Amino acid sequence: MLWYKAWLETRSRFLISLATITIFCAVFVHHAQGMIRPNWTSDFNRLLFFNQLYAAILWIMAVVLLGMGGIVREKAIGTSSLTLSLPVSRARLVGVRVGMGMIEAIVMGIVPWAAVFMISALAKMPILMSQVCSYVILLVGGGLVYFAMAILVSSLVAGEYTAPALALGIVLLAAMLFDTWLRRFNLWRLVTGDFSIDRNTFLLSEHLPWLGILTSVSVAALMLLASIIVVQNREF
Amino acid sequence: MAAVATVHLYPNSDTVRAMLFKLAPTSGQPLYLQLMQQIRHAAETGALRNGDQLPGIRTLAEELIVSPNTVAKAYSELEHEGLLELRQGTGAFVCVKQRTRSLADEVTVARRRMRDLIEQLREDGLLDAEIRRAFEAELLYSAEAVRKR
Amino acid sequence: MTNEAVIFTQALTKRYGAVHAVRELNLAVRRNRVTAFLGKNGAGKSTTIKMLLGMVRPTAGEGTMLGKQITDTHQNVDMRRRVAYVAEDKPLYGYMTIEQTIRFASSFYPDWRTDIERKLLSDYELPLRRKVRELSKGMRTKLALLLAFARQPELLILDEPSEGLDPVGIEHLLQTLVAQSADGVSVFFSSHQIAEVERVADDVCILEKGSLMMDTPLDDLRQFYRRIDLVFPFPPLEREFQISGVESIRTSGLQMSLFTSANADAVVERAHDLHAVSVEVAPVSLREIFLETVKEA
Repeated sequence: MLWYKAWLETRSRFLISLATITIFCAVFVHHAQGMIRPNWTSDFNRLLFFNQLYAAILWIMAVVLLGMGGIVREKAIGTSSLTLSLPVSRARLVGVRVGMGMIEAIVMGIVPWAAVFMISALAKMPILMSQVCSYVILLVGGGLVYFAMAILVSSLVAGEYTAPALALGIVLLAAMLFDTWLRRFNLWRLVTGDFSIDRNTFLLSEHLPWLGILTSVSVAALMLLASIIVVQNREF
Repeated sequence: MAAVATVHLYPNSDTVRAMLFKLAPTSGQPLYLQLMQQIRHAAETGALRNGDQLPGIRTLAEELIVSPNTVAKAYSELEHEGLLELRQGTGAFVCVKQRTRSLADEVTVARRRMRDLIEQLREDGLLDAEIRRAFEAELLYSAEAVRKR
Repeated sequence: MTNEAVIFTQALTKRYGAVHAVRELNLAVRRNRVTAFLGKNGAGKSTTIKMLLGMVRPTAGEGTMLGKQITDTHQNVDMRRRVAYVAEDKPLYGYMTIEQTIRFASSFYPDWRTDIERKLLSDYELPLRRKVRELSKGMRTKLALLLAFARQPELLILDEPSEGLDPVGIEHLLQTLVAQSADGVSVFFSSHQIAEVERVADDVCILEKGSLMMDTPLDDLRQFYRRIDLVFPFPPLEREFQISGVESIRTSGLQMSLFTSANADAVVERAHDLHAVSVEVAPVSLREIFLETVKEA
């Protein structure tokens, strides 16, 4: 029942974030109904591109907050003796927390875009399913590394406010670094689709930056592995 | 500080009977010995009769709130002495052999002698508290002297 | 192997910088016994327990719990399935209801005893739907204890279980401990309620400054520890009483008070030889034994 515990612990954060992102996207795209122009198609696609931008900001903040908690935080609030005396390995404790978080992160990526898809269809401005899928893949595939980073931070830092502050600080720092020195490896541009967008049609290209996504996922996996090792070696 | 408990016996007659146990954890005597003495005393004075069934180890331990090992040791020692018969699954049964003179009579005689001694000590000028303390000290001392032998 | 050790440590040590929390501890807790673990705050009891459960890594030495090495992380998981531990702060998840907590805990242990769970739920009068964070301290303690008792584990480790309970609750706790012991559970508990310990413990371990000061059956303590109060016609000399078994002597004018762990009759004989006017031999409570033992350390 570790999954049930992980659900109870993240359920509020998840549902609030999910609602926020979905409602935001829906309202943002719905607003486009007021646009009637001869070249509305590319303008509408540009709207979707900006939608991804804002959705990405919200989504990254949400998954960082979802990554908070865990056994190190439990020590600070006094329940670690209970969790650590359960007949499960520490690796499994981290694994279930990560698993639950990843499922929630993926749902938070799919549902808002599904809402956008439905609203567009209802407004008779249908968008291609392939575009929606591409945006979701870019967001989740590229962005899970932020979740992994949050998990790692919460395995090292126990404070209720210091951990999320540090994690969000790292997000900002990474954004600045990507913008100045690491332009070619700019994760932010990958996630928002900047690398794949056609500036004329504002449609995502069919060729997604798979190498970039793979790199991001690999870094995420390494961070998660590091988290497990940190927790295994920690004294409680 | 003592643990007093009423323990219900499974009677071999129609009347429901119970026995009072009083264990004192701070009296300087192992609890299992106290328990043994009280069971022995009950058997000798007739509070426990031949064929009576004492509660099982777990039940007695729970009622007296003492370790089951204490009860187990007391029962086992009494079985050694022949006072109890431990039957697997059913419990501990009392086996009292008849005696020519019951302990009740012995106690009456002893108390008469004690009354005389106490009167004498009071005449000598000792206070009751002093008499009691000296008596307890001698009891403990002589009990250990006996054990040494 | 009737009296194999359920907990066994060899030179177990934990150092935090220059401070020794636990020092060369050799503990042997026997199976099917009720063992009390006494010590002042900060004596190293909780650190010892945490090392046994794999939460803290020993600096040196080794130990086994139910035969499993405490430092082996694979064996640990299986060992924790057979050992129930209730920490001093009675940890519970505040966001779960009592019912959810019980369902959560019982899911990990296939041998969960629903009959014990039901009995204790009704004895403790716990409201199933209420969230743990809304419970009083007493109810939290009872719930934490229920989670351990309903498992009927091989080994039960309790750290200050009576804290937070009123006298009726303490009585019920002792009764439950005794019932668990009768059902084959080895009980290892630490408590400051020494009077309660004195009623139910078979063995007593005293820890002070990280080292084991005593590991003795309680019956032996009852039988051999004595306080002897003497009055002499002249001021007595302490060196006359340096007899084996005499732990401490206090003299004041014509009075002498000795605390002995053995050989009380030898002391009484010596007192008579030295023409003592008054000889009083009295038994010693476990509380006094504990206070004297940690004083000497």
